[in-house]
Amino acid sequence: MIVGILKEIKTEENRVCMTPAGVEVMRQNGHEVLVEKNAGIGSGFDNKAYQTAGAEIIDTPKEIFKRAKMVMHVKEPLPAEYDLIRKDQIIFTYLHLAAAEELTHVLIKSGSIGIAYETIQKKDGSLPLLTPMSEVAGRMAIQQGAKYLEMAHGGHGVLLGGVPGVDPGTVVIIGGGVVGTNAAKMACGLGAKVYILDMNLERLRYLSDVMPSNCFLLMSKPTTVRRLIKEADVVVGAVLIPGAKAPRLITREMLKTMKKGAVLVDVAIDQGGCFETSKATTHGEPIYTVEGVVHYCVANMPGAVPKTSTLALTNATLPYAVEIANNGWKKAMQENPEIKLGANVVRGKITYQGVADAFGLRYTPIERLLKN
Amino acid sequence: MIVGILKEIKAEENRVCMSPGGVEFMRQHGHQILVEKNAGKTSGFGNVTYKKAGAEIVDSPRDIFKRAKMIMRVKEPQPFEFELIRKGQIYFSYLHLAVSEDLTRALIKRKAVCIAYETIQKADGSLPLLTPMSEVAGPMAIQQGAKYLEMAQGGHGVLLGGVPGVDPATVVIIGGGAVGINAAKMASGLGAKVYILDIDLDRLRYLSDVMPGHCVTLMSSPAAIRDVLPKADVVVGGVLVPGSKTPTLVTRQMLKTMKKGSVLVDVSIDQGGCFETSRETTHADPIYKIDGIVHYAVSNMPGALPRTSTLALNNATLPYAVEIANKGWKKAMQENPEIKRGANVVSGHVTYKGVADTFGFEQVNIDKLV
Repeated sequence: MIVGILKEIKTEENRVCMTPAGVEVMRQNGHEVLVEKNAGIGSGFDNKAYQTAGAEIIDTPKEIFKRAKMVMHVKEPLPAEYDLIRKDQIIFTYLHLAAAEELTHVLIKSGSIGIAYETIQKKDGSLPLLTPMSEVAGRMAIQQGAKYLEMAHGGHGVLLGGVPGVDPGTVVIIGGGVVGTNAAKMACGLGAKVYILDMNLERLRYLSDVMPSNCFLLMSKPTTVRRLIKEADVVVGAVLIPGAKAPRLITREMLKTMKKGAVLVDVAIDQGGCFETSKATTHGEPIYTVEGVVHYCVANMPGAVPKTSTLALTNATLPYAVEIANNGWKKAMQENPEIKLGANVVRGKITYQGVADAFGLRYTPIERLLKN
Repeated sequence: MIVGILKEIKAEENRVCMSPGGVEFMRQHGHQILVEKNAGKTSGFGNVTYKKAGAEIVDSPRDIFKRAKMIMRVKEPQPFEFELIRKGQIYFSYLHLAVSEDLTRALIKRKAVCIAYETIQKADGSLPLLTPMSEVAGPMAIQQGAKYLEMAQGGHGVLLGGVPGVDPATVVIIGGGAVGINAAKMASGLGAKVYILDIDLDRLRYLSDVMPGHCVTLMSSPAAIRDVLPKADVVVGGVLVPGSKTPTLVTRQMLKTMKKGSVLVDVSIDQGGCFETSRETTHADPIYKIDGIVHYAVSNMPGALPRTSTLALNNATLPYAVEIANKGWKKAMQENPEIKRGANVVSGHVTYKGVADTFGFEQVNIDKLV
C-alpha cells in the first residue's frame, strides 16, 4: 500500500505522525511511504533521515493525497485539504468529529474511510492512542505548576519540593487515570505532598499499592475537593469521562477559598475543562489569573514537547497503521475489533454512534459495511 | 536589643529577613522588634501576623535606622540609605562587598558593624547562610530546564521524564555541591538520566551512595565535560569557588557540539557564571539563545520563590541573629568564630581579606577590634 505522511499545519503543532523508524518498519512490510517535505522538522527528524529510512520526500500535500491509499496525520484535515480527500482513501489521524460538524460532512461527502485515533479502543475500555498523550500531559502538568508558582509568573512563590526545614508544596490531583497517575509520579518525585482524588475505589487501591508514601489517595467527593483545595498550591484537573464534557469540579465560588497565587492546571480543557473558570489558552500565552488563582489551561499540552510526544504517539499508532496497510481497512477491521471501533465515517456513512448523535445524523453500524 | 527588620527594595526581591515565627523567638529572648510596614507581604506574612508575634510595625525605614541597634535585611543597603546608617549600628544581611566598591566605602565611612550572611562560615568550610539558597536554586534550575525545553519557549521539545517507551531527557549537572545535589534530586525524581560532575572524589563517592541508580557521578575534567555535553538536554552550572570568580567550564566552542534547543541553566551567574556565553538575566526576561542553545542565567533565582526562600533563609539566619542580639556583636564574635568570619567592615575598618584585597584597602584583623 502507498502510505502518505502529511506535515502538520495547525499552529503550535510540531508533532509528526510517523518517525523514520516507523517508515523503516512500513518498508519492511512492503509498503511505499511518501513523506511531505519537512514533516518531521519540529520533532527533530529531517528529510534525509526519512530518505535513509526508505521514504520518498514529496513537496506538496496535494500530491500525497493524490497518490496515497492511506493518508496519516496527527491532527484532523483542515479546510485547505478538504477537496483533496479521495473516495475510498483511508484517513488515519485524530479526528474529534463530535466537535467538528463541517469536517464530518466533508468526510461523508468524500466517500473516504475516516479512522480516528481517539476512538480506537481495547476490550478493557482503554483508549490506546489517547494514553500516550495523557502520559505526556500528566507529567507536564506538574512542570507547569512548579513554574507558575514562581512569583514572577503570578504564583505565590513556593518551591514544590520545599527544602530541608521548609514545608514542601501541596499538589491536589483530581482524577486518578493516566493523566493523574503520571502527574502524581512527577509531583512525588519532586518531593511535594500529593493527593489523588478518584471515585473508583479499586483504582485508589491500585494507586495506593504503587505510589510512594508522599502520595495520599482519597475518595473524590465535593466535600473532599472543597477541603483540600484550601491547602493546595497546585491543583491538577485530570478528569475524563470518555465522549462527554468534563464535569465542573471547582466552581468560581470555591476559588475564593484557595490561597492567592496557587496554580490550577486544567488538563481536561480539551473536553471543556473541569474548573468553572477554565478557558482554553495557548503555549504562546498560557496563563491568566481569576480570583488571585493562576489558571494554566493550554489545549494540546503535548504539542510543546514534540520530540517526546511524537515518539510516544507513534509507538502506539504504528502497529495499527501497519495492520491497516497490510490487511486493507476492511480486513483489518474484521480481524481487529480495536481498529473497527476506530471507524468514524466510512464510504459516506457515519459509523460511530457518538458522532451521529452529536449532529442528529443517521448512524450505520460498521458491521454492515464490512460484509464482502 | 532593638532589632529592625527592613522591607526589601531591590527589584524582584520578595523575601523578608525575618518571619513572624522569628519575631516571636526574638521576643522570647527579650528583644524589641521593629518591622517595616508590608515587609513580609510578598512572602505571605501580613502586618497583623507580625504584630501578633510581638513586633511593632514602623512606617518608614528612616525610623528603623534611627531606633534599631541591629538592622536586618536580605539584601545590601541601597545608596539613598547610606546616610541613614549610624555609627556602631549592626547591619546584618547579604552584602557581597567584593563586587561593590561604593557600598564598601560607604560602610567604612558610616563606621557601622557590617556582618555579611555570605561569609559566615563553619569550621568545616561550609557557608551556612548560602546553603539554604543553594537548596532552593538547585531544584529551581531543573524546573527551568524542564520549562525551557518546551518548544514554545525555545527548547527542542523534550519531556524531562520521558514517558513509557520514550527516552527521558539527559541532565548534566556540573558541580556536586548544595546546588548540584539538590538539582540532581529533582531531576532524578522526574525520571531524567542524570550526570553529576565534580572534582572531589570523596564527594562523588558520597553522591554515589545517596543518589538513585539513574544518577551517574563523573570526575569532572574538560574532557569529561566535552564528552557528556553532546548528550545533554539540560546542563546546570552549579559550581562555586568561595570568594572568587567562577571558572568557565563550558566554552562557546563547546556549545556547537550540543543539541540545538537544549537548555543551559547557570546557577553560578551571581559569581560570574560558569558558561563562557552566560550573561545575567532577570525573572522578567529570563532567557536568550546563543548558537541555538537556550541560556537561563537569572541572578537571585530564589527571589522568585519568596515563601519557600524566606523560610529557608530564616531557619538558617535566626540562630545567628539571636546570638548577636543576646550578646552584642563583640561578645558574639569572641565566642562564635562562625559569626566572627561574617565581619566585613567594622568601625571604619575592612576586616575581611577578600574585600580588602579586591579594592586595595588595608585589612584590619577582626581580632584586634573584638
